[in-house]
Formats: sequence, structure tokens, C-alpha cells
Amino acid sequence: MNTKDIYEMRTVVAAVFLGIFSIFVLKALTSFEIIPGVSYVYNLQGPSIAPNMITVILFDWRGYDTLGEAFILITAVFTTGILFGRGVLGGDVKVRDTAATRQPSVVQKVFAAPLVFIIVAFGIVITLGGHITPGGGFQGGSVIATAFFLSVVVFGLRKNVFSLSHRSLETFEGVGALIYLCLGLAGLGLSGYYLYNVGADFYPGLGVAQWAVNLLSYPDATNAGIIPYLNIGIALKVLSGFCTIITVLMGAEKK
Amino acid sequence: MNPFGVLVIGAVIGAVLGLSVTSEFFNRKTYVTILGVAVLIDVLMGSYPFYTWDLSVELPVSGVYLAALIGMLAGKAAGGR
Repeated sequence: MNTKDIYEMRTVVAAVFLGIFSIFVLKALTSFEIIPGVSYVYNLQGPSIAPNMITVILFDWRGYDTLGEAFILITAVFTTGILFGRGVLGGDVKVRDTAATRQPSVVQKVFAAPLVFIIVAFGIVITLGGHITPGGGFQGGSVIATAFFLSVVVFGLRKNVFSLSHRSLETFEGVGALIYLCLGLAGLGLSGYYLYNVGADFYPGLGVAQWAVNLLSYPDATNAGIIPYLNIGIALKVLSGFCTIITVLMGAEKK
Repeated sequence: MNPFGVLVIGAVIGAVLGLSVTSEFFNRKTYVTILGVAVLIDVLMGSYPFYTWDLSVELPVSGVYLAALIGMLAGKAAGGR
């Protein structure tokens, strides 16, 4: 199988998924019904199921909001790429290296490398604690991206401490989107609501098999369901989005 | 039930990101600085983000932070550029 076949197959798969997505969108538009919150059961029982009200509000009310923010970020990345990144990511033009024009000072050199580790670890903590503290995937991903910013600003784009390649960023972006999509579809399939917090509770009366309820039902009252995994997906998306933007901006040449 | 899973996930994410760290700018002093500052930060963070552990005493440090940092160091050692 040559590269052309792979590209054609990828186009077909993308078209199929776009078709499936379009069917769901059309179905949602034709049977649009406003329900206060996402689930009245969850609104009533939320604080006793989720660890606290932060969790209830953050994702059962704002799961779609986060999805919209992710789309805004994607749009921002596209726009930045179109305006400034012609050929930068594809390697068609010579990427400008800022380190070549301005060498980092000793203080910058000494502190940047340890700071990358410390900042990234802190970003991971914020991501993984997003369901029980005022953190989350967006914030955690942004913090991790600052480590990349720091590295790029101090050492330049080509040779820096935290060297995320375009291929890595593509992978992070894809995996993050896939996590969000799959968990949203799991909620849709098992409860009838896209992004429903499967695992924390089940929407009653939808004919979900008892074995599935038992499989995804947790005895721990503080279980947050899919929220931590959504946070991981969002963190990966935000990280890759911001890093792509900074890569494009740093590599852009003034004509 | 102790949340060991979050430590594993933190270490895995750290390891994946650690693979992208280049070795050129690191020496023994850098590692000592990282560990020293990380332990200090870890102690100051306390038990943040407040996972519930079935232990008789509350953990004085953030286990997730330590796991993520160890994961990064392991990832860098395993495949850092």
C-alpha cells in the first residue's frame, strides 16, 4: 500500500465519520428540546454522587461548553496557521531560529531546563485533579504548554529542551479529540445524552441492560465517572493547540 | 480504596511528555536542582489535589506531582532525545 492509497483511505474514513456526525447533528436539530440542565436526576443527586458541586457544574452543565472551547481553539490554530504558518509545519520553508539571533543568558540556560520539568509536572497535577479542584484539562494543558513556550523562547525553535515535534503534536491532538469523542458517544449510547457522565449514574428508563449498569456503576460515592478522562483529552488538545500556535508564530518570517 | 490509578496515569503522561525532552541541556547539577525544588514544591502543595487515601494519616505531599515528575524523568531516561 503506497502513500497515495493511505491518503485515499484516510479521506474515505473521514467522509464516513463526517456522515455519521452529520446524522447526529441533523437528528439533534430536528428534535431540539430544551431541558434545564442535562439531567434533572443528576441535578438533584449530583452533590451526593459527584465529589462536589464543582464537578456537577463543570461537566454535566458545561461539557458542551468545553467542547465549544475546543472548537474555538482549533479555529484559532487554523487561523494562525493560515496567516503565519505557510510552509512552516510542512518544512517547505527554512524555519527561522530565534536562538541564532539572540543567545540565551546564563540564568536562562540554567533555570529553563529544571523549570520545564517542574511546570509540566504541575500541569499534570492540575489536569488530574480537575474533577475535585478548580483545575481541569484546559488549565492543565495551558500550564504544560507554558513549559514549551519557555523552552522555545529561551533556546529557539530548533534545538530546545522540550522539543515537541509536529508529529507529536498531531498525535496529541488526535488522541485528545478521540478521547473526548468516544466518551461523549459512550454517554449518548448508554444514556441518550452526548457527554453524559457515564459511570457516575445512569439516566433511568432508557432500557440499559443491567449488566452494563453493573459494569459501569461504582460503589464509591465520590466517583467522578468519565470527568477525569475528559480532562486528560482536553489537556492533550489544548497542549497541542497552543504548542502548534507558538511553533507557527516563532517560525513565521517577516517578508 | 486508594486511588493508585491516578498515580499510574500521572506517571504515564509524564513519561510520554518526558520522551520529548532533549538531553543536551542536562547535567548532574540540573537533576539535583530538579529533585530539590520538586520535593520543596511537593511539600508546600501538601495533599493537593486532595485525593482520599485509606490511610491513618493524611499524606503530607502531593503523590500525583511526584508520580508525574518521576514519570518524566523515566521517559527522558528511556527515550529522551
